[in-house]
Amino acid sequence: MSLTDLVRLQAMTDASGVFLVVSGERSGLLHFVQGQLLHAETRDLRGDPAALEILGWAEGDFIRSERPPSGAATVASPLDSLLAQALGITGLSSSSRSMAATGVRRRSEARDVAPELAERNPSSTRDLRAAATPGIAAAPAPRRSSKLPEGRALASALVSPLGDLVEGRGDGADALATRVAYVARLSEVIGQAMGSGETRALRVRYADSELAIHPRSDGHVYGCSVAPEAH
Amino acid sequence: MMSDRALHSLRDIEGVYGSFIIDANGETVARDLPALFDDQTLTDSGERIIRLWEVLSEEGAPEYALLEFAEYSLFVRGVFLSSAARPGLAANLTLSESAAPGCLCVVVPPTVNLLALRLASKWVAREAPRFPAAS
Repeated sequence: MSLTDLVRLQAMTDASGVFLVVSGERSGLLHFVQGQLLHAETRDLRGDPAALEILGWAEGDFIRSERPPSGAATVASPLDSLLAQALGITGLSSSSRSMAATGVRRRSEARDVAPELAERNPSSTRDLRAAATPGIAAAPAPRRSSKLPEGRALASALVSPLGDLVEGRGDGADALATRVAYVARLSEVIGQAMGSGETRALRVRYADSELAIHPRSDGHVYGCSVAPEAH
Repeated sequence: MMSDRALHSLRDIEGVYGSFIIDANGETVARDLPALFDDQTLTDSGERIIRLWEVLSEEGAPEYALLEFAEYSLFVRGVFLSSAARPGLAANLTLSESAAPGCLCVVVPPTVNLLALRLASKWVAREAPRFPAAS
């Protein structure tokens, strides 16, 4: 079984634990919580870059460690996206990449979309661009960064597809989890109604804080409330 | 319901596809959108957008929310509409007493200049009381 197959297996079985990956002289750690890759590190890298490096190793030993998973979530990208990048899959749609990379259908595809909403898809991006204010409409442009807002984290919550709090931090993590679960679902339904595709992120700006919600490809939703640093 | 100059002004922001205003029931009270978005689409989404805004406002009113979808993004901010048509309200009520909550929704590309949009939408929000709530 290849390294990527082993990683896929952790995601598909909702595994939790720390895995040491050794490939020749190189080694790295992958931290999974309920099938979600939350932290990765090599000698020199942390987070997404580390995960990409490890997943790019053609072969290696995959050793389960006894240490508990790190509490800090440093990996921001969904596992399917990381696997797709590591495998060099770039020419497919996001859903095809997801299936190719993880071997599983995304939750949003498995779900039954209300037929009346699915049929009425008003927004071909091309048509919309034609209607937009001239300037940037002609060519696809880089997306807004979906990174979490910078600042002091007040609370965070990782919510399972069934609405359970998988991991919470800070005061009010339970309350945040409830809001995150409901808000993410509402966003999803709004996206379906407007034919705008899957939800990538939701940012809410308050007077003294910012809420960021990121649905993940495995159906989990991560929410984080941040107080911007005073400058 | 008709397109309005205030909403149209949002198109001064590069890339903006269009916008609409919904009242507290999710009904569209003004729109400046391509025909790709029919009334039924706005009805289906309006009700949910209002519910979303209510949930987000439980612990204080947000300045705005940005929903980022695969195809485009939806910028939402709260506005106050005129509720003068609401039965039972005296004609001499001040705006704050007679204002009905609603939402301004702007359909934008992922690359929109958010700072410019925040300012432009603030101006539209000030104009919003000219729009009567649908109910």
